[in-house]
Amino acid sequence: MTRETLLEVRGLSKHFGGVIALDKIDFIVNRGDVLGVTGPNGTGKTTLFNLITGQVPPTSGEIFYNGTCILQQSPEWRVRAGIARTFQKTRLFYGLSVEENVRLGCYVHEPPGMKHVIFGSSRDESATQKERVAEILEMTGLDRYRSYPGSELSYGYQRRLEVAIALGSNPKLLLLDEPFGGQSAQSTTEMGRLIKSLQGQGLTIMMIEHRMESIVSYCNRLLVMRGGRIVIPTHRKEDRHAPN
Amino acid sequence: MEFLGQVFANGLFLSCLYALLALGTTLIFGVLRIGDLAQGALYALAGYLVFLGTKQWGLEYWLAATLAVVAVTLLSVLNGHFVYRRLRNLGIGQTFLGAVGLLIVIQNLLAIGFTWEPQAVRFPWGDALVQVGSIALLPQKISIIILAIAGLIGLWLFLRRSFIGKALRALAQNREAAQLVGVNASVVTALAFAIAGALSGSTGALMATVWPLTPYGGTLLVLKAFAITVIGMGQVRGAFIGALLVGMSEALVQGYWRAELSDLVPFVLLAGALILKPQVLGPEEDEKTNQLRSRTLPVFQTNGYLRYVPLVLAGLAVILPYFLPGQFWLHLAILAGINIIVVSGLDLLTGYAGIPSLAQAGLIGIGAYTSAILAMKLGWTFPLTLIGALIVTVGAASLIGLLGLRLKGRWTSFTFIMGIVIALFIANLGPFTGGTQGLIGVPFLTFDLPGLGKITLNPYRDKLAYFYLVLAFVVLALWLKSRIVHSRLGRALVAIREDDVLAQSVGISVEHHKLGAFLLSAAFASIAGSLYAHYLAYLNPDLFTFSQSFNLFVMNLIGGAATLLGAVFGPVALTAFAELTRSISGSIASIVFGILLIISLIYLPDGLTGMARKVWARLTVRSLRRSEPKSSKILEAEEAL
Repeated sequence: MTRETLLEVRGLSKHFGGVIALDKIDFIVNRGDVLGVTGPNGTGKTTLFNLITGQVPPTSGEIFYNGTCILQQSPEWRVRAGIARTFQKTRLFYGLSVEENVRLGCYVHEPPGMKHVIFGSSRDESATQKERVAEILEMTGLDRYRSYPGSELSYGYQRRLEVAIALGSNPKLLLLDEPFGGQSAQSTTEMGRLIKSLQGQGLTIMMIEHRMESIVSYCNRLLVMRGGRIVIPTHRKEDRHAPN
Repeated sequence: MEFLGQVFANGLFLSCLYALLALGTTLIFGVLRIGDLAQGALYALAGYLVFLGTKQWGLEYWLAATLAVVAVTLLSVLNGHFVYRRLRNLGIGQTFLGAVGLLIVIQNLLAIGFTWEPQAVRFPWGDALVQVGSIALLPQKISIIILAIAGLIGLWLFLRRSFIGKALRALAQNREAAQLVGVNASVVTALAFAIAGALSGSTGALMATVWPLTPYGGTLLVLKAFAITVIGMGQVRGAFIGALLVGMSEALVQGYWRAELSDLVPFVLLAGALILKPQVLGPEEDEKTNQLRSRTLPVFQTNGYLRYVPLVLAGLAVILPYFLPGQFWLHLAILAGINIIVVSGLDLLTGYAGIPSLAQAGLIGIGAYTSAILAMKLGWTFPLTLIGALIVTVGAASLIGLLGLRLKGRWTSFTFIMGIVIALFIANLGPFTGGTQGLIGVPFLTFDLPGLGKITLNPYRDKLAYFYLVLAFVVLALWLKSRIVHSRLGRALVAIREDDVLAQSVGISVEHHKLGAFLLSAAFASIAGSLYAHYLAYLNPDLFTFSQSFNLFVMNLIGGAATLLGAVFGPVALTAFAELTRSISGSIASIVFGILLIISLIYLPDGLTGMARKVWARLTVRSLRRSEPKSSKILEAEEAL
């Protein structure tokens, strides 16, 4: 079965001063994949995410998304193009309600321009926005907490809200940075259910995860990283002979 | 050659003077990451205490000076303990605002105690110039040089050799880590304040015999010291090198170019340092703490009866003049209206986007002066002067924004310095702005209506018409603000305030929006400036100093940041207060504003409107349920059952 490639990374490197965080890595992500990314701490997994979303510029290499090189594009452009992410350390708009958080997640679909500032959105446009927010709240099981401030939620719900915010931009590629990290057994199951349902909708997901059982349950492909390199699956001779 | 020697000696003296203050601010910068501007007021206070001791109580100069230094050191420690320590937990922006507040309060207390008239203290060793070769210097100036060198060596030894000095350096390097290994942060911080206070105090006591004593005498000095702290990258050695650089350049500019431009030197050097090395202002860890955060949830949609409050207020404003007892009250209403316009713009920047600015008065100044000059020199009429001023102000603001917004955590102090630079520029561009004398005879506001000819609004005769004109602009400003708040743009600003990294990852271009918010606030300020210039018919750089910016900030905060009506309540209440107390003393309002700001920063972060909203929420059942939700943990437990 050949599937369309969504993301292709070629020879991507990132050096922070003398530290080599990523060392010429190559891989591809096909549409509909749930790609697990694992490896010891400090091997550049989060750096890889930051490079894909454009928050950090790479030292060298190329990233192709949908067949075009996106290195010159701003992080905002990439969100519009369908790349969304969550963070390892939870990031929310803590002072705002759950609903407003998701509404901000839908930011790229808000009607732009001065016209809307002065005359406001039409009834249709605000209705569409509200529908989208309601849909996401329902999908993530957050609808009953819609008027709560983000800071009031329990940790498990905060993680889910993070995913909800990321879904707001209607992404094609979702990058999840340790979505199960630090969660109770119940929240883990619910997060897993959410990821399964997203996969069912055909969303492509890259997921940083440490626990093998989660990877086995949700991922169909796996990248194992070590010292800024991908060691499994490997294409490079020196990595193939590297000691385990 | 002789002249060069004299310039050099003078430069050395200035360098040492700046170094003495910069060493203190550098130490405090190390532990708090802010420039402690209150040291400038302490410097002036020490001078006045010496004045009091020698003139009123007949003490010996040296005894009076010692007592003054002790008192000032103590006050510095108290400031650190009661004000800065509490504000530091809230963030760097707040701590810096607290410093500005303290500066203004002490300075105005001095003005009430000793009047604004300059005073002088005699030096006990006489005023005979000491002749070294062809160079002549006052003995006091020589003692400043000796004090600075002794201070530097002493401080260097203390920081390098003593245990507690090492603790201080450790705290400056990494506060958390230092506390973890057992450094007592409060003691060490108090020590930094004590050293800084002693340095400012002894400098102030000596300088009282050189320069005339004024309540604001230390302000420009401490600003320069702060600039030097930044140029010296927060290091003691750097501060000394920075002080030498600034002092010598100032002496050269004074000696060989134009004396009045020398005050700009440190700020030009600072701007240069910032352009070349923006990281000089400290590590990025401070990135988030800069943001001012209101604890009120922003309301994207206003529901219920509250929706009609703005309409009712607008209606009341229209009939207001018929209930005002006299012309003076109409004058107050006009000033309040102008302030509402500025604060509405400032609130978009500060309340919504969480970016404080202390450059607003400078921006109003640019708008006012441009409008006035266009009317005076080119004979332009009103809508044109307004537009011209808008273009110039927004242009200047884009320069400030492009340069400063990269600085993140240091932005508040940067705007503060830029506000002062604008005022210095206005005061020094004599041919255009009338310099410190001011611009007299600004034409009244004139419309050139086709078919009707010219209509002039004389602010003395046509106050009522002027009131309605200002009211129209106020309504326009508030309407525009509310539109912006409820639009995509407003959401983006709130998102940036809450978390700028997440804001970027939902697709908001953070840099553009920050700049946009600043330019919007500048545009509002410029409109207010134009209205102000033609109303007063007289402009003076003193109208646009940092204490004006500070007042606007207090109006915003007291009224309630990130609320629509806060931008009305704050300016109305505080403008009325300031104008009504002016007949007793102009300083009263400044003191009250400063204290109000510090107290409200600590205890009332939501302002009056936030309080009113909470009360309203208590009164209405529906809101009550919303404002006190069941804890999500309870709901979760219910769900699990």
